[in-house]
Parts: sequence; C-alpha cells; structure tokens
Amino acid sequence: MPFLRHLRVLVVDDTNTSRMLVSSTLQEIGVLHIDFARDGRQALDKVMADAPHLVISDFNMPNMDGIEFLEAMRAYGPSSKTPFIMLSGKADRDLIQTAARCGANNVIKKPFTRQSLRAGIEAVVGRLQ
Amino acid sequence: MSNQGIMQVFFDECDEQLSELESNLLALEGGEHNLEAINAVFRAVHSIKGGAGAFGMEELVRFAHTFETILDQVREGDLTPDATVLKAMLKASDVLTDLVRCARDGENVAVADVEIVMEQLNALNGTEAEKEIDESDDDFEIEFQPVPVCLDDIDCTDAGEFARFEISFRPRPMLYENGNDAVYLLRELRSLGEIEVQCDADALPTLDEIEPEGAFLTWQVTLHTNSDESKVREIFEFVQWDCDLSISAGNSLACGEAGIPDKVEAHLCNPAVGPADPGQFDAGSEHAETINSEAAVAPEKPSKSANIQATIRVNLERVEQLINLVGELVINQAMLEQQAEVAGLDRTSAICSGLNDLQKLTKEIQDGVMAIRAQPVKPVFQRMHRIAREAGEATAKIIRLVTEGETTEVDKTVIERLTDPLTHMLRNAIDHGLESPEARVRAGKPEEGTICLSANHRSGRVVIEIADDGAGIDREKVRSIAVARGLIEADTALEAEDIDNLIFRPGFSTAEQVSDLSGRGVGLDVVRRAVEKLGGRVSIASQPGIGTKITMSLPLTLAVQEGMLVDVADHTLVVPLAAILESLKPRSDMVNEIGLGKRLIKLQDSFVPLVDVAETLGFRKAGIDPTQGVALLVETPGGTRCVLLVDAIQGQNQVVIKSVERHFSRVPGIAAATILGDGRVALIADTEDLVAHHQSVPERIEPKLTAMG
Repeated sequence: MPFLRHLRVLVVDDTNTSRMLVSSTLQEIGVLHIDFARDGRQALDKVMADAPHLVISDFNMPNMDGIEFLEAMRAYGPSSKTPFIMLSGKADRDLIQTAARCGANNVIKKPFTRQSLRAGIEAVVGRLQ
Repeated sequence: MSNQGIMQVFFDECDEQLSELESNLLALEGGEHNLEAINAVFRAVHSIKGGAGAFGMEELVRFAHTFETILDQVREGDLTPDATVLKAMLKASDVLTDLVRCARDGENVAVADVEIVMEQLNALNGTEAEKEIDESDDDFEIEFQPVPVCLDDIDCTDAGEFARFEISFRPRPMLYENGNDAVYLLRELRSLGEIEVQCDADALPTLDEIEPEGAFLTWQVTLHTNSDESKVREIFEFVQWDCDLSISAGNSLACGEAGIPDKVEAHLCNPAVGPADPGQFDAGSEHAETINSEAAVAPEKPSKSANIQATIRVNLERVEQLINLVGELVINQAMLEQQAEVAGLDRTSAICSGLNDLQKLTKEIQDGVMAIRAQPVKPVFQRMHRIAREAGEATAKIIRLVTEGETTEVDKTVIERLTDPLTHMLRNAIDHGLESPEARVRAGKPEEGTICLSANHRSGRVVIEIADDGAGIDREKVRSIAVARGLIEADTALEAEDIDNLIFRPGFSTAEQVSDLSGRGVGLDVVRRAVEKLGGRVSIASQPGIGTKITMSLPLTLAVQEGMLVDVADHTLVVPLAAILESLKPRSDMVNEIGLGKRLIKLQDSFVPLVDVAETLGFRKAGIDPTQGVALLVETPGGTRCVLLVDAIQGQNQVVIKSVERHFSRVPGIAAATILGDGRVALIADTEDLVAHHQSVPERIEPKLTAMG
C-alpha cells in the first residue's frame, strides 16, 4: 500500500510498553510517520496541530480517557471524520456501545497481538499490502 | 524495536507502576479517600495486566485480573476500601511485585502464596458466583462492528498539496572554505519533506590527482514537500554564491509514486528525523541499566506536575564514564594550579585568574555530574513498607510506618547499598524496639506502634533516621548481656550513651531467643559495618519509655572522598576524614611500651593502641619515636579506637577514588588509590584493615607495596 508511506498515525497510550508494541506493529506494516501522546489531553493537542490520518488510542488513561478524547475529537470539525481505533482491556457491552455511539471506527481488545492489531486496523482502512 | 527490547521496557515500567500502586494504596490507607488515588491504583494494575497479556505471561495476567476486579468494584463504589480491604490489597500488591520479578528472572512462582491471596481477594468479591457471572459476561460480549473508511481519499487530497522540486547542487571549494557543509544543507532539505538524493561522484579524480581542498561532488535531489520554492531557496541562501544551484518545480506528487532505490534513502535515514521514538517521553536505551534522574531540586511533596517532569533514560555506563572523566578533570585542574604556583606566576596574572575560573567551573561540572547519579531515596523507603508489614505480621505487632523526605537525593550506589542495613534496622526496631500491643496499652500508649523513617540533607551529607516510639533501650539488660558476652568488665563505668552503643558491638544480640526476624545470627554490628563501609556513621539515642532513634549519616557520593593527606616514610597517604576523630602531637609521657613492640597512648583516661602506619605497611623496618610524628585518633567500623602514627600532616583535600583492586589483588591496609594534584599516585588507607592487622599479627603486613609508590 503505497499510501502507508505518507500515512500519519497518532498512537495514544499512557504506557510506554503499549506505545512501543503498537508502533513496532505499525512499522512492520510500513507506516513511517508515527507520533505519540500519553493521554487524551495531549493527544487532542496533537490532533489539532498535526491532523493525523489515523488515531489509535487506549481507553484507560489518566487526565482524559479514550472516550472523552474521542468525543472531543469528533466535536472538532477537522478531526470529526478522522478514523479512530480504540484499544481497551475492558471491552464489555457498555464500552462498545459507548464507543460506537461516539463514532469510533473500531475497538481492539487488549491484550492485543501483532496479528489482532493488524486485523483491527485492516478492518477500518482496508487490506494492507 | 525487538520484542525483547519492548519486554525490557515493560519490566522497567512495571517497577514504576508497582511503586505508584503501593504509594497510592498507602495514601488510601492513610485516610485519603480520593477517587484519583483509586483510579491510579486501578490503572497501574490494569497496565501491568495489559503488558503481561501482550507477552503471554499468563500467571501474571490471571492474578492481575483478580486484583483488578476488586479494584473495579472499589472504583464503582460497590466495595468500601476499609482497613481489611486495603490490607488484602497491599498483600496483593506484594504478590504482584513478586510475580513481576518471577516473570522477569524466569523464576518459579511460589504458587501457594498466590493462591491464598487470590482467594482472599475473591472473598472480598462477595461470592464465587459473582465471579462466574463476570466471566460469562465476557462470553456474551458483543463484537464491535468496524466502520471502514477510505484512507486513499484522505491521503491523495493531502498528497495533492505536495510539490516536487528537482534540485541540482554542486558546491564549489569556497563553500567548504567558508565553513559550510553539503551534508547539513541536505539534512535541512529533508526537514521540509521527503527527499531522494543521488550523489554524482563522476568528477572525483583518482587519489593521486585529488586536490584535498577541492569540491568534486554533485547532488541531485528530488524533494517532496508542501513548502513552497522560497522555503527551499532559503536553505541555500548563504551558499548561493559558493555553489552551482538549480531548483526547478516538478510535477506535483501523484499518490503512491514510486520512490528512488531504497539504498540511497537508507543512507539518509538519520534517527534524528526518522519516525518518532515511542519512548520519547522517556526515550531510551533498550537494555542495560538505566537511571532516571529528575531535576536536582525536588519539592518535598511532589505536585502532580512534578510527576510528569521530563526525564530521559541514559545508559548507566555513559554516566560512569562521565564521572570518571570529571575525576580526571579535577586532577588535571589541581595539577595545573600546582604548576602555576611552582612556576611562581603572579596571583593576579591572566593565567592564574583563568585557572581560578577553571576551578570554579570544574567544581560546578563535578556537582552537576554527581547530581545525575543522584536519585531520590523513595524507592528504598517504599520497599520498607513491605518489610514493616511482613515484620508486623511475624511479631504480631501493629505498626504504622511513616516516611519523610522521600525526595532526598543520594548517589545511586549509596542508595543501592542502603537497602540491606535499612531493612535490618527496621526489622530490629520492630522486633526489639516496639513493645507488644498489650504492653503498649499497659504503658498508656496507643496500640499501634509508630516508626518514622526520614531522610534529609545536612551539611553536605545525607542523614537517615529511623525512630520508634517503643520502650527504649533497656540499659540494665544491655549491660548485663555485654558483661555475659565478655564485651565489658562487670565493673566498667559507662555512660548511658556508651551502653546504648554496645548494641552495635560484634557478638551482641539482645534477643533472648533468636527470632527469625531481625535475628538471623547477625547483629547491628553488621549494619554499622555496612554503613561505615559507605563512609557513613551510625549513632543511637534512646529514652526509656519513649523510644529509640538510630541516625545514619552518609556521604552524598562514593566517587570522591574528603581525606587527610599525611606523610608516611616518604610516601603520601590519604586517611579518610570520616574515620578521624582528632589529631594530636604525642608527648613522651603519653606513650607506654607494653612489650612485643606494642605501644599504647594515654588519651584522657583511656589507653589506645598505637599503630605505626609506616611500619605496618612495610615502608620502614622499625617504628619511629611517637613524639617525632603526628597521631591520628581513628575509630574503626567495629567501634575500636586506635591511634595511627604518621610522620606529618600535609593537609586536607578532596580526593577522587580509584580502585586498585582492578590492577592489583587486594592490598592489605589499603582501600584505594588516588591521584594528587602533582600527578603522583597516593594510596588511601583502610583504617579498619590497618587496625585489624595490627591487633591480630604482631609483625607487619608484607605486601609488595613498593610496586605502587
């Protein structure tokens, strides 16, 4: 997928471990431009400043959680349609319904594997490679 | 980054989360019922579970899951975090810590403990049935229906704004002469977007014809950028007369245009502008030990913002190297200063004032580098909570451990070596210091015993105190035990303070039966030795019925030491200042011969053995007349006092410690070496060793020390 080289992805997670796991999978797929934030608040700043093409965010984070971040992102015109994939350890009915209502594009259950993450991204952006 | 590398990051992060977990649980225990602390606790366990899941650490996930379930109930308000619940949670955090360690070291997990705590947690969770429901809930979980998007659209509109420039750039020799470099210009171009570079080296002559200061290379650059031409030209603004430059706007970039061969690109793949590092907040090395150094001045109570202070992780080796270099710098600076003096330069001369500035800067660099190694004592103090819990359980005492000054910073090595003595002292305070709850109530004290652990800086040293509100030292008992063990004579007159200090003597143990707690066959003398090995001192103060306080004073660093420079038979020797109590010029009436070549010095009312350093180290065959030398009264880590006889005192100096054991085997009587201002090597005396050898062997030590001098 040639556009992967130009794709700018924002990875949001409060733990370094998850950020690295996600980004190493993205790099494997061929994504070159990966930026990071460690909570919703910081992520929102980055969304407004850099307009990433895709956001992959954790749910449980300090300051501003994934859902709050998603809501704020959707409320902001330029990012109202930016694809949003949420990672969550707690993927119960409640959260999934809330995520869907707020306009998430996918929810990937944590712990994820490289395969499950990749599949979750492909379900949104189409097959990669 | 490899999976192995990420796993290392995970474990590092686990440590942080576990300490976060414990401190928040303790805050909750202390009565702070805020949602933020509960959330932080939940998040810590949740994150550990998440990471562990990604690496397939099932045992860890299973336990973390159970823990998390309870925490979730507390968070939802279904379970009140009362004393029982918090106790179980603290226990669970201990088990979690163990499980993480097991996963890291690949050790086997003590399953029994895990199961017991799991059951305790489940018991809090109402019923087993509830747990079943919880799990069946997972089965009924609905899958999220992905909402696909077409990224091609998004991207191509974006890409449409990209312009392509073809740049041909041929530097002339002038460009280099003026201090510019083609590489920098190319890097700057890359900052505008994606570049593809081809270097044309056809004009490069053969080696025998090459003009070394010539310029022969031409670069063809294709730049994809959303900047306009003026931005591109701006980069070449200062070199435009020193090169042949042509910039032409190409077609705008079509989505997915084929790139230039990867090889060329790879050359330019500089990490500085590559994909951002996921660890950018604490960017770092993959393995090796890392230290985390926050800004030197940390507030007593870190605010929330202090927690997210920007930090970097650096390989410890680099810091060590820097410290070594600074050590060399200090020596070099001292050497220059001495040379200036020898040369008889005027104090007001430019060189001397320059040297003065150098000295100031060197000192500042030294302090700065030392500050990098400095770490707050918090992790060590936090570990003590667990020790206190376990010791409390073992002795059936109710304990409250209060810690103060956790942000006090000390050298990493000092911190590492502090854990054992501190653990021992804490156990000792719980085991021997505090009374049983019944006895406390009888004495009109609260049932709960308080132990206060504090750290603070005092005159360039760090002082750590551990104070209990127990019964104080039973001096009668201590005295009778000391007599029974043959440490003192039955009729020795001792001040209260001296009696207290007896508990630090080797072979002293007050416990009538050795409990498995602080006992373990070692006494507080081991603590004292460990602390004094670090260049520290231990003192004790006790008031009957009110409590006991043990104070440790430690140097901030182990890399430099305050030392007394002395002359010993044409050699310069350094005696650690911390060991010296006083120095004096012996009069002949103070010296008493007691045969076998041994001599005693009478100081006030006691006799102290005299050690002729030159003779003991084998610098000289026979000892000198004490009245011709200088006597240094030293106290060894064992608590024995002794007088070291040296020829003369040169002065007091800060010395950089260099280990000799790497080059020589252990040299008796010598702790390390240092380099003096004039470049000579001086040995640093190991006072404990000197005294021990003097006591055990009447003859002198026979090392080939001449090889060193």
